Amino acid sequence: MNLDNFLLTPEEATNLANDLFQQQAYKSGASLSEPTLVVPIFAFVLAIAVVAVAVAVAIWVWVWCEFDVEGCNI
Amino acid sequence: MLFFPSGIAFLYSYKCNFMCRHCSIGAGPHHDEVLPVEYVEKALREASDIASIQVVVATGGEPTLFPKHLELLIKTAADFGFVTRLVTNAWWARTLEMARRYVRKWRELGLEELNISFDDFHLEYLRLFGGEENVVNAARAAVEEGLRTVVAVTRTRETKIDASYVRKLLGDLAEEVIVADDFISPTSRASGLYEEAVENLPPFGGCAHAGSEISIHPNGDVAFCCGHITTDPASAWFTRVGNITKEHLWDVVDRIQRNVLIWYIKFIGPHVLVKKFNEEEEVKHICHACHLLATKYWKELETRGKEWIINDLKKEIKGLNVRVLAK
Repeated sequence: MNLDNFLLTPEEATNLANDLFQQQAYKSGASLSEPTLVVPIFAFVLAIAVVAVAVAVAIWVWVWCEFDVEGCNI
Repeated sequence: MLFFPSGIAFLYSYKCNFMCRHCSIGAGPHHDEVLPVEYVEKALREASDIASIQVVVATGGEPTLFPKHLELLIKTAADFGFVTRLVTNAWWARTLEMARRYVRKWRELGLEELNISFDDFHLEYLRLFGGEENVVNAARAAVEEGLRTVVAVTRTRETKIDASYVRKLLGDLAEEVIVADDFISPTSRASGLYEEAVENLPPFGGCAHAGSEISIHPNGDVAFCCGHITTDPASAWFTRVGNITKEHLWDVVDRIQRNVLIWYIKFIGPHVLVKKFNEEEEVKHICHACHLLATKYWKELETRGKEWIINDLKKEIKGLNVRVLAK
């Protein structure tokens, strides 16, 4: 009897080690060369903010002109 | 790779002038097999090619019973730049003068750390060579020579000697000596002490020694840990992963690093596996868990196979919190 049934090939060992390391790196917040969720979430929040500002400006301009506030040249 | 060996322990013989009831190695005067010195030298030379190995330990058995082996091991290891440690029962320290003679010689050869094993079980036999004063003499001589000095105490729930007893015994030396408490692993001869063994398992993670400390045995076998099941006839095979008389040490280390069961034992723990196979099983010590895997649960483990271990390892690692582990 021996433990040889549980041997990995060098390639399997490397892949599994990377896999396990990445699981823990995500959890510990370590930076990775692989893409993470941080960038897409930041981009999404930024996009929402830009749209919100654009809508607010449009409403303000509409109110400005609709009620003929002095100085509206549109 | 996820881990590299940091230390190598030589159990070049299991022969001992004591026959302690708690000995999980099963050492004693009846053992005659000794690893030939040329293999000690070979293993050290090959270990020097593995950059991660920093510490070389002479243990056993009582390593001082083989002065030729011990002196060669300390000198060669020191010449290669390893930190050297001797684990002994201090039979040789009946008087302070005797202790100084021995320690000075080892120090001159390159010894850096003296680790004295002392507890209720050792004391039964130490009395034949002096008594507990041997521990004080050995520690004093080692401190005088500037060695890192450790007294390791092994306990059960019924033993009298613990770390505070040893500190009191050492008196003025206590400040300069590390006193470490540990609990027995009820394997090999110590299986007779099963009832009084205290349950002692790591709170998080697995076996820190697996794959990080390797050991070499009298017949040349290399084990993936410093192990307490190394001579138990029923489970010794479980830790053996190669043989120094037949192959290069690096080949053995390479196999240790690629064995996913050893990964599991190291990061998750053998006790977790045992509990998966039988929740009711009583596990007293992490080495006891490996003993149970090798005996009672080997068929189960073999049937589930490598893929099951890989998947379960992924699942268990996902559940670990490295920040908690780091604390």
